Amino acid sequence: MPSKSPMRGRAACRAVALALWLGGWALPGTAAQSGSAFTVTVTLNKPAAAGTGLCRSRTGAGTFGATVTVVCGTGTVTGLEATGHGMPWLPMHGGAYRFLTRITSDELSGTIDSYTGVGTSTSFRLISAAGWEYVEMTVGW
Amino acid sequence: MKKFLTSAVAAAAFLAAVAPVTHAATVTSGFTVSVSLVAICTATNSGATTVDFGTYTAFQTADNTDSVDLTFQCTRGLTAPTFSFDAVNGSATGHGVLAGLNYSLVATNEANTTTGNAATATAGGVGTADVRTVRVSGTMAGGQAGTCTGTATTCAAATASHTRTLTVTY
Repeated sequence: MPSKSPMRGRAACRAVALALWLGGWALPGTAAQSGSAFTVTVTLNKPAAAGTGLCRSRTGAGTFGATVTVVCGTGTVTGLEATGHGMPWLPMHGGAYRFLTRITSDELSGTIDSYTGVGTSTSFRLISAAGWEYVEMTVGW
Repeated sequence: MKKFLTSAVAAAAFLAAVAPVTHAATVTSGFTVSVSLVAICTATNSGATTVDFGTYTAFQTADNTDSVDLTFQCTRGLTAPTFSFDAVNGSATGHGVLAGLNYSLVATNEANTTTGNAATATAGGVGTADVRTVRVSGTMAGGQAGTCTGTATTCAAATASHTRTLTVTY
């Protein structure tokens, strides 16, 4: 039965101690983490009546660059935001925006048909301001 | 008389020798007290923890925003944590999609972090934790169409929600 050598035992202990020391000294500085759950929610607006989803177009006939919002199913205009030439008048249904022209009251008088385009003007008014005039009109189509 | 005094002193000395005074003795022994502290932050939320973007109408011009405060109690002295989000219901950077609507989340350390009290060397002198508040702010940009399959009134996924997880690294 061979007996263990005390020298070999001590050497092994030293090796283990050295390995432990090196392992402890070289511990990586790992960052700890913790988590917290929470809920994210949204309700996509559902219209009350069928066929009233909203569609938008910037390229429709007569829009002149304006953004037209219509009911997808019926084509009813629910909003018209003028861009470029025009400026928003009132956010009223049916389509309405203020369009600035160089028309004077003299030019407009008696020649209204020559300025009629696509659609129907349901109402309009001529605004005379200091040094310039413009027409506000409501158009349905 | 002189002989009497001598005898009395001798008797006292004898009595002192046979009845010794008891003296208290002290001895010391050093020892080591050791602990390995694992620093931790844990979520301690109370109340609603929902980022609710409310009702979103397709193509609306305004952004929908909401925020929620999440609280954590942490080992005292930890530096301000950094944040990331789960990649299960979105991206680690906080982006996500609900009902076909893109949103983004941003987490920030609130200034009202409460510094805990240090432990004291008294009975029951345990300290208290640092309490951190992390605000998660969400933005759902306007102008989005969303996704709602079916007719406008019956389409699914009109109301949508999912769970996100904020990971704090400290």
